[in-house]
Amino acid sequence: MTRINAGLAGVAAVLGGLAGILSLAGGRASPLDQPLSAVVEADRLSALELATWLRDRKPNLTILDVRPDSAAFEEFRLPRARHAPLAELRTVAPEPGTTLVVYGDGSDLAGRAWVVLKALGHDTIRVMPDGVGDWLVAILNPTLPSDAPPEARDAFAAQAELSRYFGGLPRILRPGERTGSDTGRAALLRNTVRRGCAF
Amino acid sequence: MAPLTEFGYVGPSAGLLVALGLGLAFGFFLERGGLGNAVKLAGQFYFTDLTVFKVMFAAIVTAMLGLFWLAAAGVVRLPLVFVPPTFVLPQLAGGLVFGVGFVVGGLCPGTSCVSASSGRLDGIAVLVGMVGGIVIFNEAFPLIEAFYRATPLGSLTIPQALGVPHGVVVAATVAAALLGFAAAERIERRAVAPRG
Repeated sequence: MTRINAGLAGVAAVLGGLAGILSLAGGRASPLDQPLSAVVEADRLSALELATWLRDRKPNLTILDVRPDSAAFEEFRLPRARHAPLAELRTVAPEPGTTLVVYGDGSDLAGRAWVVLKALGHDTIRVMPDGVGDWLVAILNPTLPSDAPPEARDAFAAQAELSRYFGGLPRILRPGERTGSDTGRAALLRNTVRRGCAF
Repeated sequence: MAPLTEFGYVGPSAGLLVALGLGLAFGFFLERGGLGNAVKLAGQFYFTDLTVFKVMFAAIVTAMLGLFWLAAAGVVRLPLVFVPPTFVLPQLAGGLVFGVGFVVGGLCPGTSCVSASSGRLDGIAVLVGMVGGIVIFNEAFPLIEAFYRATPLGSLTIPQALGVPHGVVVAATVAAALLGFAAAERIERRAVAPRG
């Protein structure tokens, strides 16, 4: 082993040892210690919550559609959403007091956008992990099984009211009929007509 | 801030140029390390020349330490670094095919390119075989697609799989590498020592 090799081995030993000590000393948990879905769990937002915010005109709300495909954005987007693919998030300037909501196509896109926006200095970011599909199912096409218990019916009544506000079609399923989430999001998207409240 | 492509500093085309530059540099250093020579690579399997082990483990440790400390410094955002998804059975089968090809041809994909570009006939032969294999794989893909996607575990890292902090995995890998380097040196010295 040459002197250079021995020196490099020494540097690696020091850096490796310090990495272990840093982790064991209870320092900041590395994002690699847990999956991305767990990292953003605390900032998770459902389509129902977002719909409530929109209906109640929550101030300083910015909604970002981070899907890379602009055609998909043109075809369907959430109310008030602006198109901001991952590589263009740098153009979204941080503003104090603003709540950012990011959604994608149900993949890890929105979670990755959360990481980028955090790194760029945004404070309040909420993520819709199921993206467009969550909105299509929970807001535009919510369904309730015919044998649902009374509590579920009460909850569905509130959801149905919200759904109608955004032009959705809430439905109580016939006995044996499949739920809305089983019918295919592409079909839901095709059948979606923009109506009701316009932003 | 990195990864540069995720933050939009580098577009897809520029990303390909960066990949080309990195590939050329990788090939250059493989060649300078003697890894374009199938005899040297085959020495790995006879415990007479452990250069491959040392080069590859050195690369792993360098990348691992670099990522850990760049992430700790806030330069790299680790959740944005692409982690190839794990498919247990197909990857075991792929590893087996890779290993058999490595032993038979004496070269792996990267080193076969290096060997071919430096004019070695065995390198060209392995490269032609590799391209042929890629063509056959793609043509037969509809037949093997179900197996290709079998036993998926998603993008899994060792810290997540073992429930161990990232830094501890880094420290353990560095320790294993340093012990491995020392053992490799000893094995190589014994291999070249005159027997009597």
